[in-house]
Amino acid sequence: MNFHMLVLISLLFQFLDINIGGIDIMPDFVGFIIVAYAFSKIKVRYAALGMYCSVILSISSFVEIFQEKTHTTSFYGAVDLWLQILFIVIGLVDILHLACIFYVSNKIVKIESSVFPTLFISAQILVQLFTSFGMHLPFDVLEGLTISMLILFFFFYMYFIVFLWKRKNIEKKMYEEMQAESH
Amino acid sequence: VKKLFVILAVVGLIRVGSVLYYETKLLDEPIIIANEVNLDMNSIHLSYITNLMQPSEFQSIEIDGMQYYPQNDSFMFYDSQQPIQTESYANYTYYSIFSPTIWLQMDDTTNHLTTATEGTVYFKDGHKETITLNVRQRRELTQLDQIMSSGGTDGSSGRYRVVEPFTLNDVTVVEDKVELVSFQINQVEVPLPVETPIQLSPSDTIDIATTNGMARFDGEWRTIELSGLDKQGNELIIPLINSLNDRPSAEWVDEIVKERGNK
Repeated sequence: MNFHMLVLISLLFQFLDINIGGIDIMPDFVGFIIVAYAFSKIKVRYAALGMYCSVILSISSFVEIFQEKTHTTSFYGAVDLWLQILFIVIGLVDILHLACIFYVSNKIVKIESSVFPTLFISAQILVQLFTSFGMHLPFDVLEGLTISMLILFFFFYMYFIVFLWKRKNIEKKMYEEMQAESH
Repeated sequence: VKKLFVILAVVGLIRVGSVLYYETKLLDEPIIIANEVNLDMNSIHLSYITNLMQPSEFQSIEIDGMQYYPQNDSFMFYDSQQPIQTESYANYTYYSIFSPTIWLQMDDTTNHLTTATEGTVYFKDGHKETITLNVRQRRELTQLDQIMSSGGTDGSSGRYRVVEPFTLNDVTVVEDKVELVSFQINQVEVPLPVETPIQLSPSDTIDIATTNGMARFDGEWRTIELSGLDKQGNELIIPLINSLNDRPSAEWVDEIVKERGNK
């Protein structure tokens, strides 16, 4: 299975929450382990960094499963100060992780013309900044902005899936061509 | 990616700074802003400001050694152990107002409350506070019959028909919760304050219109008192109530927090 396909599968784990008997059978941390595995197979610059980020995200989403059960998170995230700072760091690692996926992807398919990675990462950074300022806005204003942001991000992620799907096909084609050449 | 490292470091610093600033706004303890034992409605109302994030949860109120716990306010859940109003009454940037209601089931319980003066409020986080109770006694409207009543964000109005004759000496707005916009007898505006006592006879009508006022808890009333003499010449106070519909403003909440928060 190629790199892009593994990233696509990991997205399924991140987005789908199928609960059976109160247990999520598609936990996010499994998705991050899959990406870590995908990175480990690639020998390009920042693949190792991407793998470390995946491992950190995997651990944090595993811990979060128990966090939710103890209700220590709220609309704004963690309640305790140290947990809030930890979540901020994890949010930044998530962006770095995404940047590594795009970097490695570009190296694999040898395409660097797409503006989507820059747009998507910029949007992620803006969300981080929005969270910083948004938490000081009146609750009803924040609620409205959050809903708009969620809608915007829905489309971003939809396109991200399409983007990965296209690149998965390019990677597959390249692999097949390489196989044919070697024969 | 190197450039991204720098950007993320700056974003991280901004976020941590923002969280630290938010922390300075948090309350150590909830601030109780209103209470009422409403014997007309067989209910106890409480209202408090707490943090929007991780709000303090009301547990019970102890009055004269008796604990009163909130219940679900729907008759469908009569006597059930449903969790109370988990939703806040109003939300602001850093704070929320919660206004739990305790519905009293038995008259003997409410009778016991007619003379209550103090209560101790318990929160689930262990915080407790003794408060002076505001008891709204049962009203007996023998002189007037309420024909119409309306309340909204524009104000409230009510029409009453006189059933028993009485003499009207004065009209007052209790606690200045609202302003009296109009006071009419038989649809003729009466200038206030009343200069000479007005004799009211059966079938006379009284119309009252007021501005809207701030309700610190769900179901807070404003009262207009008509004072005068009954047909036997005894002193008489007739309380006319209507609902208040404005939620406290963010400025009002901030002012309360500034005065009473984190002492």
